[in-house]
Amino acid sequence: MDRWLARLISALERLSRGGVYVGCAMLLLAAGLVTFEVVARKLFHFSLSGADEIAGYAFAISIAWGYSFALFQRAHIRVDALYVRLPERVQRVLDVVALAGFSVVIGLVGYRALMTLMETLRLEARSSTPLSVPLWIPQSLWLLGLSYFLLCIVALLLRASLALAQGRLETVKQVAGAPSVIGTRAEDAPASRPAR
Amino acid sequence: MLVTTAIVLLALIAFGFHIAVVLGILALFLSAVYSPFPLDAAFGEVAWSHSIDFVLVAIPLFIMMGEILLRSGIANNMYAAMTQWLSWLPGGLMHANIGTSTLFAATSGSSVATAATIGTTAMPQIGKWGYNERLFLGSLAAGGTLGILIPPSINMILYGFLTDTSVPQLFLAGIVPGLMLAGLFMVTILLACIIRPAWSGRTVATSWSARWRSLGDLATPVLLFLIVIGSIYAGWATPTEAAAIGVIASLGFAAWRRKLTWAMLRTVMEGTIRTSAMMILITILAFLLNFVIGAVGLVGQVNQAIASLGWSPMTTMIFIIAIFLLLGMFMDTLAMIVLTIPVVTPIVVGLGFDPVWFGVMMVLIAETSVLTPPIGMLCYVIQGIRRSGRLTDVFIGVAPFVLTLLAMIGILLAFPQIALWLPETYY
Repeated sequence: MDRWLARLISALERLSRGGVYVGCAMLLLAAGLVTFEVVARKLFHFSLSGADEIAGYAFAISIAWGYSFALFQRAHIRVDALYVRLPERVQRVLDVVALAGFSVVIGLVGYRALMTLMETLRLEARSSTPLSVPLWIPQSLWLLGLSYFLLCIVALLLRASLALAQGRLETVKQVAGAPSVIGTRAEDAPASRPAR
Repeated sequence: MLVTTAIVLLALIAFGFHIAVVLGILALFLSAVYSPFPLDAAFGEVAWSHSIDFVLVAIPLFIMMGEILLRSGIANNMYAAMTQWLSWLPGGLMHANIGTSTLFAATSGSSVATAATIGTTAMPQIGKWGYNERLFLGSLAAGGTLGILIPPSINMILYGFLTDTSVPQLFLAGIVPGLMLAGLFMVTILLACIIRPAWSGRTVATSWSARWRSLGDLATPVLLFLIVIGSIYAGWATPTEAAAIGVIASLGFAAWRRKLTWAMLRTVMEGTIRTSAMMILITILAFLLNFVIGAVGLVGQVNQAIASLGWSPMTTMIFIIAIFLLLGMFMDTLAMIVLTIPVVTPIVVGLGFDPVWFGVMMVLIAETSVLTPPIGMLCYVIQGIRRSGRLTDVFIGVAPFVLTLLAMIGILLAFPQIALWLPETYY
């Protein structure tokens, strides 16, 4: 079971990395579009409106798909001032509780986001801008990213709680521990890979 | 309501939950206990409308811009150039640390990025020239803090977003205090090295011909700053549009230096998304909490509690700053800002303080809090690059700069015009 979950998690991680490249490429394209719009507006006095709206959608989708990558990179900050001073066993229990809390919060936001999407579909809502974008398109891509994030949290939660139940504390630590106890801080990442 | 909220908050934080989760649970708790009807029904709509907010798009774009400058080696060349110009002062390369940080800060919105970039570049120089290691490390961590005071600044975008304050005005307000703080940091190094000449390493060889040649390397960041910040104040672009232009321009600079490769671009993308996704998730959940706090009237209760103390506005402000500095020692800075700003800023404005001024003050407090033990993010970053010795060395080395920052907070408290005259003159 543990090995199967580990394989699933590493597959999820690979896909989330792919999501980063696609999402960030969208963000770059949006940046290009916005730049073009500003230059066109100022230098050639013609206005191609809507770049900001498209950039907003690109932003929402790329970040929603990035949440899972940040999760695997342990970039989501935990306040660990007290946590690091607790005994090993308590720390591991808190690791699992933290992931459970994460899945509840993201689950709820995701559920509410699904309701919003349903409402959009029911009303066939379009953005109130010249572009008049059918909102279900960006919204469903955004929700898909959020759902993928939830899936990744739940996969980590399953593996960590199983390991906790079987007393394999080291596995819990590797799967769900705060960066400070594993010895790599996500924020150090730019430093640990010097500029090439 | 106040006491219960504080207890729930502290418990969640003590348990080591992720900040995003703390915000979410607190929002659900306040809504369930104090609201006559469940507020979470609106969460989907609130989350969506802020996820596409054009103001927030500036955050990943500014992060990407900094990543591009780092990965294309532009930052390395800046350091070499600053060494030529500044290392003759007592304290030598430590002035180059502050100088490069100042310049890099003008193209970067994050203090972690600034400290990591300059730290990676400068660290090998400590042993080579015989510097006092602690003070040198301290100057790197302190220099990093300038990243969020000198525009562009992600913290100011967040503050502006959460409090509905003009981001361009906040950016302008940061310039004078930022340059002043950089100057004070250099004075701190100068004084330390005059009192203890042994701390100042051997002099690095410089020449006027090398200085003139190095100007080209300083031109890139200056040009980028002029493009990004210039386009905002020329009225051509909003901060987000300026960030987009900055990304495209820095890609252009990287391509011109033949550093634009797929491998480099992949590293840039991963770094950008890792940091932005973390920040945006916290911001979105902070906004959900903000929404609940507004609906249940928590701000009014805090206001009443403060009014019942009967303190003068200045006493209250000093008290607030002291609490923040204390909190900042134990909490992550970003978490502290998003958790407290929605409640504290309306109170401060109610007392008659300017929201733009308070934004700059918040950034100064944030700068102090990333340097103070036990939770001092920038000291961790510097120690992470160093990979030897004890973390305590960094905390000791940064102590004089923390004093400088406290002095700067005092100065800004006494003379608010330092921050306000530029935006007031311009707008």
